[in-house]
Order: sequence, then C-alpha cells, then structure tokens
Amino acid sequence: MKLESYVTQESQISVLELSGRFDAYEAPEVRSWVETQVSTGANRLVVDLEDVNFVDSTALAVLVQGMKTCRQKKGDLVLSGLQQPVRIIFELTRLDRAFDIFTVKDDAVNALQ
Amino acid sequence: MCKQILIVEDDASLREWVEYELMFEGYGVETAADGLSALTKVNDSPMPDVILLDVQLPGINGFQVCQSLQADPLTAAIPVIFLTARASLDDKLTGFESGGIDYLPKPFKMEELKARIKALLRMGELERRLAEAAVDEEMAQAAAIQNSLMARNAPQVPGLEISAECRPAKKVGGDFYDFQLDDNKRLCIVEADVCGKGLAAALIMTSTRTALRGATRSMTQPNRVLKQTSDQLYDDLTEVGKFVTAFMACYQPDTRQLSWSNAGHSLAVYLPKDGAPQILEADGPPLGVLESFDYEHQQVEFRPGDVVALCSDGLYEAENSGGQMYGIDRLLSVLESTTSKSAADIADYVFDDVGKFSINEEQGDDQTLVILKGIPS
Repeated sequence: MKLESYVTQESQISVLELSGRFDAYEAPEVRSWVETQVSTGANRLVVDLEDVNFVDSTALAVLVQGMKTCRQKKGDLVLSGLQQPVRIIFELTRLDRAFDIFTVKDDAVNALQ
Repeated sequence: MCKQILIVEDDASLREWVEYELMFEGYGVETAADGLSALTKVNDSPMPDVILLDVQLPGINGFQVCQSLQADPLTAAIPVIFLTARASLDDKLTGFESGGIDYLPKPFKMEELKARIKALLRMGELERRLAEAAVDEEMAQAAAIQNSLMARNAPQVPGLEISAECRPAKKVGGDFYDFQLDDNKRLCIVEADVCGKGLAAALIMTSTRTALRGATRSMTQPNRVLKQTSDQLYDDLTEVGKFVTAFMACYQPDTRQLSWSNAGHSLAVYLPKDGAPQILEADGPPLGVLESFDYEHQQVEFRPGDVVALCSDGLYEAENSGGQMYGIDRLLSVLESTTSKSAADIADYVFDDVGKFSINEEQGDDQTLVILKGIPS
C-alpha cells in the first residue's frame, strides 16, 4: 500500500494527513515535512492517522522526534484518528501516554489553537 | 542493467562499426567524436563501465582525456582501452602512463576487442566482490562483538530456568537481552529493542546496555533503573531520533519474588501455572521519550511451573508471503500450549512456529525471546 501525504494550512496550524502503511520507507518523507514546518517557524503540528493501517518503530521514532522538537519550541505535535491496529501499537508501547491524541482531526486543530 | 561502454572516436565509420557490434553484443553504448564531448558524456548518467579511447582526436587528445578522467575521483576507476594507429613503444608507454588499462593498435579484429572488454569487466566484477567481502568481514566482526555481549550463559539461579536467544534481521541489530547477578544473589534480566535496525541501532544498543548495567549496580528496583537509564540517554537519543523499549525484571531466589517494570516493551507475558495468561503491559513509554518519567513497579511470586516470556516485536510482526502478520494471538496460544515444557523447549517451539509461518520470507526485524521458568528450588 502506498503512502500519500499532503499539507493543509488551517489557522497557522500545519496538518499532515497520511494514508496506508506508515513504515521505514515512508518515514523520511514525514521527517522532512516536520523539519520543513519547524524551520519555517511552525511548531504546532497535527498528524492525522485516520487512513493509516500500520506503523512500525521507525515511523514511531519520527513522530516522537517531531513531538520533542515542537515541545522544545513551546509548540506540540499531536495525533488524530488512530484506527484500531495503530491504536494497539500506541498502547503496547505506551506512547499513548507521551502524545496528545484526538479522535478526529478537527479536535486536534482546535486544541492547538 | 547492461554494462555501459563509451566509444570516443573521430572516424565516423569506425565509430559506427564498433557501436553496432557492441550493441549487438548486448552492451549499452554511448559515443563521442572528440575529447571534450567525451568528458561531458562520462559525467552524464549512466557512468560507463569501459571507455574505448582513440588517441588522435580533434581538440584535446586521448592521452589528455585519460589524464582528466584519472584526476577526478568519480571517474578514475573507469577502465580505458586505447584504440589507435599510433603503435610505437613510446606511444604505448604514454598511454599506460596517462592511466590506460589496455592498448589495442589499429587495425584490430573485432573478436579481440570484445574479448578484451569482457576480460576488463570480469576484473572489475572481481574487485567489486572483494570490496563487498571486506565490508561483510567488518560487519561479521561487529556481529561477533554484539553476540558476545549477549551469548554468555545465563547465570545459574536456584528456582529459575532461563533460555535467551536473539536472531538479528541483519548481521547486527537493535534487539538485546542481558543478565546481571548482584551481591544479594538477585538476578536482573533485561530485554530491550532499539527502534530501527542495522549498525545505527547496534551502536545505541551497546550504550543502552552499559547505562542499564551501571544503573542496576546502584539501584534495587527495576522501575528506578529504567528511569535513571532513560534520563541518562535522553539527550543522546533525542539527538539521533531514536528510542528504546525495555522490559526489566529482577528475581530474588530466597523469596521467589519477581519484580518488574516495563518501558514500552512488548510483548511480555506472565503465564502462571494455575490461571490465565496475563500480558505484563508497559506502564510508561520507551526510554528516551519523556524526560524524568516515573515508571511503575510490579511484583509477583514466581512459583514452580510459572513462565514469563519476553518476545520482541520482530516475532509477532513476522510476515508470511501473503503479507499477513504472525500476530499476538498466535504467539499467546503457542506459549499457552507449551508452558509444561522446559524453558529451552518453549523457546525452540516459538522460534519454530514463527519460522514455519514466515517460511521463504526474509526476516524483517530482529527476533528476541527470553523465557523464564520457575522450577523447584
């Protein structure tokens, strides 16, 4: 399955919507998206995983790195739309306690405003 | 991809003849009619595997072209065969001095040119294999060091049977286990997984192991060891964008108490002799994710017949040819059906079953399994 990503700007908050399998092959693309946002001063980021059916540890590492970077800059990287298989991975690794996670993307955007 | 040959020859009929013959032979062929355009062509991809170079060319001559190629590290390794009517000993010597590998006087037989090209390509292939073997040798040495950090026999502790094995996906990996026996005869057991694999993960693995060992010497409870290790590694792990999942257990033989703490590691399973299996869930995220995070401390009495299995994610995420995952459910049912066996037999059974499931598939991630089994003291 192929990962497609695009960026929308909503009230100064950058949103990344991902779909498909989020693993080591797609991770560099997401990492560079985060880096681009942060380098242009955006540090409130939403990564929407509504259409993602699998994440591996490399993908998780990219999200953790992004979250740490944003928090260092007094912003945050939050997640939304976790489906069952992905939610289980976040629960098993207890990364659900490290991230702010929202049911839907709009809630995540509102929370960051 | 087929081998690429660049023909540099100003005589159009000769150039076209050689081009035709070599293309018929299955080579990819580019041509140039003078020295400068030859140098431009070389830098266009694909890089040629062999260059056939005339000496007398308009503009800069063949010897100068060859010297320019030699001066550039990107092109210095491309073998050059001079094709020329200038066949005096002096000319030949100049050709070899300027960096040519071979010298073929005109007129030549096409069969001889093809044979020489083949010989050069064969030599290049041998060199490439030797270089690969050298890298393989270094990786094998790294793997041996990493293996020696883990392969030592688990300490003998009354009332406990132990089996531990790590099967890295590449030669070196980010999974590891460790045992440490302290002054009070308490045995500490760790299984951990650095995200990612290969050499980068292996480097983080060795520093994590050292930090965990240091903390274990000065702390008594697994949750405090995990906290200290996480805080100590936090900056480094942030810098390199990695984290480490870790499960740590300590077994006190005289009281049969097994205490544990879990930093994002899965899957740890407790299978009591009498009772339903229980997943020892993580109570905090992996090491290096949150600063100053307080992990929780749990404890059970570990009786004869009880089993604890620590299975890294490479086991239950193993895939078959249809892209399906082995899964936690199947892992749990295999464990449940084997608890009456010895620790070593349980481990063999699990590895066998995962191997059968993912047969003919390349192992995608490190697979580590630690089995603790309670036996009469």
